[in-house]
Amino acid sequence: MASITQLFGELCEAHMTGLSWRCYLGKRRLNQEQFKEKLKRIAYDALFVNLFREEMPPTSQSVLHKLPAKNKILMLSFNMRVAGMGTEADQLEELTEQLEKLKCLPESDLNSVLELLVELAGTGSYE
Amino acid sequence: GVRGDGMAGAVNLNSVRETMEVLLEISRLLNTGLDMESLSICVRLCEQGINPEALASVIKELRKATEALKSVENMTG
Repeated sequence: MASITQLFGELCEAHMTGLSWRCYLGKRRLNQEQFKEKLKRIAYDALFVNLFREEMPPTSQSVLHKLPAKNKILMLSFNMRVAGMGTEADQLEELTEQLEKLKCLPESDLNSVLELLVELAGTGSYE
Repeated sequence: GVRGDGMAGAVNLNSVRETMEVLLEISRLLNTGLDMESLSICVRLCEQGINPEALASVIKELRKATEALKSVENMTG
């Protein structure tokens, strides 16, 4: 079982693949190690900001927040249908069902992973 | 590469692989921008109890930081 710090290190490295190091960032030459440290700081800052936000009383938290991730996935697939992507919507729903049947992850972990995917939905670039 | 050391040891490897493939496909359909490597790291972080919303914001920040570098490369590359 890898530690959380190790996993965040891996995540930073995964984001560094394909970058060349002969370039300047903000007029300052950074080597790989320095850049990885910088990314780690960014990662932990983002993590902590969010952790503290959770401590605050929910003010404008929407009803959507309370729904398990699977319901959010179904909403996204509905949106896909509306946008004329019926085939993709079918696939998405089938795969989500399949995932539940596999029972490879505890339900709460699976919910977390789906939650993450919902959060990142639409942030990729179709290249 | 994908290492399954974050998964419960008792689960057979095929079902772990199948689960990861299904997750990657869902991830692709949702256009999350995660590749298999990042996805598997994220799965392991979720297993460790990291809040998924916080994790999503970490990934968005990491992308912002590396995009600056990538855009420089595209100009010179």
